[in-house]
Amino acid sequence: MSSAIDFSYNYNAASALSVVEGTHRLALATSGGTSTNPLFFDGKLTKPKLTGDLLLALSAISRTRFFSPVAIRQLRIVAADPVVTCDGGQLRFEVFSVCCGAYARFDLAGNAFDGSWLSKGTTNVDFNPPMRTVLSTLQNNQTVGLKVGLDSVELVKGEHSVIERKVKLPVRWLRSFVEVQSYQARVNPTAEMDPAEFDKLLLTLPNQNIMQSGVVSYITPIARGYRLSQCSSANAIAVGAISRLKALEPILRFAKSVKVYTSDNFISAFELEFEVGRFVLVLSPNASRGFSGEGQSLSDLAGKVDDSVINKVRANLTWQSNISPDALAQSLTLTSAQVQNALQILGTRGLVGFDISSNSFFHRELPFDISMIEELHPRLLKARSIMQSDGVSIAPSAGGSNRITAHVIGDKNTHLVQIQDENYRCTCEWYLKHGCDRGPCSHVLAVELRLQDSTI
Amino acid sequence: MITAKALDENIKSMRQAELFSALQAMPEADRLALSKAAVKSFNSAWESGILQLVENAKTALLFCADFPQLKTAAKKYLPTSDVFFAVFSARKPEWLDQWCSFMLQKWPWDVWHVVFQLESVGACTLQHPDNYYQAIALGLPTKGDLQESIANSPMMRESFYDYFTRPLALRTMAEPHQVLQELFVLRFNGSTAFEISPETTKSTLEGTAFSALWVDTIAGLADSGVLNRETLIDLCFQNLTIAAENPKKKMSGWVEVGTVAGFLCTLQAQLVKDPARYYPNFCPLLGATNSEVASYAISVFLTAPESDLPVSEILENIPLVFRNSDKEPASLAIKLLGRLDLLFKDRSNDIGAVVPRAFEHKSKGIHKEAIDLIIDRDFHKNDAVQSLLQKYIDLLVGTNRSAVSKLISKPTTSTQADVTTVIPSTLQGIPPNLNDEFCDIAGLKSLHMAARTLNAKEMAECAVRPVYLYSTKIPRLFPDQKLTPIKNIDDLIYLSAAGLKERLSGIQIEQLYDGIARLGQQRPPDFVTKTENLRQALSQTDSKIWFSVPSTDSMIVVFIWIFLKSAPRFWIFNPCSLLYSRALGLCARLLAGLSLPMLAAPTHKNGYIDPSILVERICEYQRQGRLLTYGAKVSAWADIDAASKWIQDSKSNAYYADAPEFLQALLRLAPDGRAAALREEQKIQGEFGSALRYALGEGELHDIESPQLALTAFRSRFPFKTADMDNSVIKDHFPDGIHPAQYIFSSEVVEKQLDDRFSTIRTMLPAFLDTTRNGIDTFPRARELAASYSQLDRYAVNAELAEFELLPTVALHTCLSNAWSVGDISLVWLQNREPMLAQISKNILIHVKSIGTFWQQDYSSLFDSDFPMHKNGNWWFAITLAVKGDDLRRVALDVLVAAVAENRADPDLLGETMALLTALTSTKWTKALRELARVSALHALASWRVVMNFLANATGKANLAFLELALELYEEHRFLPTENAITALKNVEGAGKAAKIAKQLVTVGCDGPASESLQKAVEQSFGSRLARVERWHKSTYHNDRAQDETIGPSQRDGKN
Repeated sequence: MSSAIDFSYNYNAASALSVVEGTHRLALATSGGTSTNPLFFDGKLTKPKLTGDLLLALSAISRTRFFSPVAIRQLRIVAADPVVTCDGGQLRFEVFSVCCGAYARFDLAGNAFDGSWLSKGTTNVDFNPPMRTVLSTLQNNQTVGLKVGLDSVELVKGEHSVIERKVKLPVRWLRSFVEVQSYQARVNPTAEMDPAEFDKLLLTLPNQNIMQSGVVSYITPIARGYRLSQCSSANAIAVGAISRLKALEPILRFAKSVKVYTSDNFISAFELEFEVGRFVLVLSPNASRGFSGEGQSLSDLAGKVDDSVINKVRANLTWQSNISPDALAQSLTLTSAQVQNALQILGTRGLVGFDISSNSFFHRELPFDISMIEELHPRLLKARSIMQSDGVSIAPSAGGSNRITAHVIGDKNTHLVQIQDENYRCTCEWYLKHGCDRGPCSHVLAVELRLQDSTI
Repeated sequence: MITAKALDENIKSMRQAELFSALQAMPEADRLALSKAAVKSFNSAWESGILQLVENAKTALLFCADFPQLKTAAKKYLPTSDVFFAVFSARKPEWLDQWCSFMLQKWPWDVWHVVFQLESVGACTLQHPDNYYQAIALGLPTKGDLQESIANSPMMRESFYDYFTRPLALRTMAEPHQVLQELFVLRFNGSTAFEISPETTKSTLEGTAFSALWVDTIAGLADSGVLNRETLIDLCFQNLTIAAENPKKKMSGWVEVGTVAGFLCTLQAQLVKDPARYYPNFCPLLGATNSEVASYAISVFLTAPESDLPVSEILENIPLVFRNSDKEPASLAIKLLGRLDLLFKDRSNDIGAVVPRAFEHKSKGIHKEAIDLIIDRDFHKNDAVQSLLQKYIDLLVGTNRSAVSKLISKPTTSTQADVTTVIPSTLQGIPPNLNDEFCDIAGLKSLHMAARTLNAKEMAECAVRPVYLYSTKIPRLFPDQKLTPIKNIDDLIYLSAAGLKERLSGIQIEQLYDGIARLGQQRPPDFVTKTENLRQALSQTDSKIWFSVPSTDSMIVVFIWIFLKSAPRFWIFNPCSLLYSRALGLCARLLAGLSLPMLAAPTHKNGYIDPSILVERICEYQRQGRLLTYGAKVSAWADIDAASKWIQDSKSNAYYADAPEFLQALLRLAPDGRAAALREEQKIQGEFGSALRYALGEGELHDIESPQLALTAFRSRFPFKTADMDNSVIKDHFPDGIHPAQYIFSSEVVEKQLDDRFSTIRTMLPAFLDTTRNGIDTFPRARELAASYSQLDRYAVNAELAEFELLPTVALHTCLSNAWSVGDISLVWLQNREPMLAQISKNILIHVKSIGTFWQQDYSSLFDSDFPMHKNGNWWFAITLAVKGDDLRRVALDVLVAAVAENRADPDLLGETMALLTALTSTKWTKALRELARVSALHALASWRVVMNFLANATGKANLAFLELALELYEEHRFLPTENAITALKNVEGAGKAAKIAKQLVTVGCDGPASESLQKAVEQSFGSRLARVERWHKSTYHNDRAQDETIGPSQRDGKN
């Protein structure tokens, strides 16, 4: 299986800043989505400098490699362009770091604009170097128009020609989109930090290096402010490879609040509130673990689904920024659990994202063909291969127990797999190393597939 | 007209120029007709090896061959580039673009100039790959006047902007030396074949002259109008924006090298004639991560005329520069702020509000500059600046902090409150229901008394005094800490699988062994299928692979459990640790068909064993005919054959199978619950019964015949006393033999270790102990050798051990760093942690300069609330807080924070310890103590006491770092100096900073009322001691504790 897919961004012009009758106009070129070059918005920015700085911070994360061992440094990994979703009231920009261990989303709120919303959808926007340069020069005392999408090219300075940029999109980048929404659904609000104290804490962070990449540090509240600890304690916030937080330094001084969300398996999310919107940074448990390898959605991908429910729910997605399972369930005469499950499945297909702020899904259709998403997961492929070669044998269960015991033929050994309720265990190296933190191993998945077959 | 027949003759006879002219004159179709002949002629010319002939043949080939033929002709057909150019510019074949692209892909360094020339005359047009531009960047300067070359090349004139924005080309112009090094490496690895001309090599190695040449050229081309200045400036800003994001790399080596950022800054400085037009572009660069870019942008504004300066934009962007790790841009930024203040007095408040941001910088020098500016311009009189000073003061240290605290109108320092009428309600009294003895051990009474006297000195001493955690009256068994033994085969299988792959914790290993011991004989019908994975894993393990197994002990045990036959011979023979001997004992019992629990399996998570449970276990053993006598002495350790036989025939030598287990169990016996166990113990027979009885609190030592059993029982009951035993039986120089161990932490040893990592400290056995008698060290030395992989060393170790058999004192103090025998040293002897602390301190000292993690151990037991850290623990703190690795230092600080909060640390002794080890560090310690002080008032007090005792005991030059910290802590908390510290400070001479601070502190004196911080610290200390006693009340046997008085180390018995 290839580790990258050929992808072309096709912009009908380059993103650029132009000056028309004394007014600056920032035009973001779009590529892909339900239409080829959609036109989303035309209006003005209320806080140009702040918006520009936040977009630059987002762009910087998309070009940063937080984990850079020698083998990977030699690869020329190109940063992908941000994915933008317009729901008619706000713009959501999403990116991953090059290593896929950090996910950033900037929700540019409605109050940051003054203009007309023209359509809804998801697309990519061109963040070329010249555009980044002009973003850095925006000032709040300027009048800056914003156009997302272009219906003509006369506003754009420079060459008026189609910009086609062929890239090798890393497959792990696509998998990461699918995985990160599963993880975000599992984090819980943990703390609210004072931005100034958080800023001071960032000053004490060690420099990111290979030795640091696997370390989990704890932000521990003390009498005055916070300190960094290596050990857990009450009210401590666990963050893996914490130096990645330095990506927030350029924008922290503008933040009004900092909310932290964490999960049991060391996923951490930092939500910064600004005048013009919200910036969220989600970090994987350590720098060497990109979201792509996490496997939280594997069981969902492997599972049999009720297509009729999925289709019903999908048909009712209309770029909502906040999908309420209860409301949708009522209108579709389904149960909330069915809708919730359907949304999770749709998430694995890149058709919804998850917003930790509102703790709900939002409609977003990735502008990539991810119909082959399942094929992108080595563990799932291996599980299917084990199944096909009849490598799973399920032992008779001990009377009354709902524990399933199975023997699965692995590469070198036969493994003992046990599944009971939501828990599972295996004797393979993957499980021994990662436990349940990174989703099921291929042997557990093979047993799940076998069980599904048995129930047909 | 040359024919095919004549071609070869012409090649041989004509001069190259003639041949060239002749072929040039022919039509292309005629030339193509000669292609096969040309190839044939070339092959024969090549065979001849005559240079002139070869060159002529090449010329003919170039004129006559088609593109596919030239492609297959490969590199050997390349003539000099002049001939190449001449032929193709004359011939202009229709496939010339393709040929150029192909050649650039294959041999860019050989053909770039030809392609360049062909493009320059319009003979071809192609897309420019990166390596082409790179070759131009490196090579063009050597081909004559660079400016002229570019000006005369339409290709370069048109493509220059594309060229300039290619990262590779830009980097080659800016960092030629580095690029050249990389290309040489690629060539050496065979990744690319190229030849760079000697001229190029020479010029790129000549420092920064090469890059300067490019800068001058580009600027010159802009001046002459060949290139558009505005476009160049635009592109330069784009590149600067990208360069700004990356910090400046530290350069090392003898050659002066440039950087991309430096190149762009120098170029832009020449291109931009009117900086004011580009202020909006310079402003965002002020806060650049790259120091060169930031410095450049700031210098633009430093020299700009007043009227144009965009003050608001500068103030918005400049704060980020103080996050830059380099000093230069930060210093320039402060100068710029000063300039702005002079020029724009109406904006003084806004400007002043930015200056405190300089405190975010790492450099104390920058802080000083900022403070000087604040004072000079009275910025601190502004309310906004006041609040910023309060916010950022924590970022300052030493005299800087002191200076700023004076500027703050509402100081953060605590006042010397009149406390005569204030005793917090939390200190009003000790709840009457609490056990008196517990309260005494926890130091509650003394603290309460001191608080009521309101004497600051006593309060401070008592607040930090450690709880006496050596007492055998402290309960260790708590209901919520009970361990659940493994109950089924499935769980055992998973734990075994984990043990074969990953390193298990000490408790997990015990659970594994205990599980196998009890369930090991069970063979349910599906046993073989369920253990298939383990069988396969064990079968695949051979003599080479087993070195990579986390633990050979576990592997042997699991093997014997699964197969119920002896393990391969070579697996068995390893240097012995107590854990390893126990593992072999388990193997022996398994092979003998016995199902008996592990005697020493902990019953609680802290590793202790409930005495009543141990009695039950021993009874079970005796019912099955074990642990009855002190059996025949067939030593297993020195003879591999004996060991194998011994394991097979455990019944005749049961002593060696079971004794290690028994000894370890005694060393884990909890002090509480012994009286209850004594009542049941009466059933246990023989010598083991006598030993157990003695450990539980009854009987006499001389009732126990075996010296090993006697000594262990004694140490189980009296961890710190001197045993009344015959010297000839147990050699009295053994540490924790007859006499309790005496530790020697010598500063000389530490300094020697720092100078030579492989010296004395490594062989100083055991860990910081004196084991010599009449100048001879008789403690097993060979164990250190066990760290090697040599078979002979392992024999030597076991031969020595055979002499000492199973002396527990050897088990306690071994420095065995055996890669194959995993043992958690924190679980060997639980009532006396000093051997463990000495061992791990030694290990850290050996690796104090390492940033690796392979040698680190599990320090989680140091967080146990009942783990004493106030004797050898001080050495661990002092050494670990000085290690090079950030993460381990942070762990040490975490342990210290926890230990202070729980009154387990002794700050006074820690200060004295640090004073002995000043060769290690001062900076790292003061940084840690500073952070410790921020945690709470009690931690601040602890930090203060460390500092005071350090100052009182350190010899040599006055330690400025500690003095500055002392001043900071005093100003914030108003703690009083100790008498000893003042005595030492009075001797600090001179007129420097250190002397001034010393004088200041002396002036404070050691008498005075308790400050607010001290009161808070006392409250905290009281609260945590109270919580401890209440927790002890919840223990299982808190009314049944050791009856005998334990004579051990007093709380403050000074140095070791």
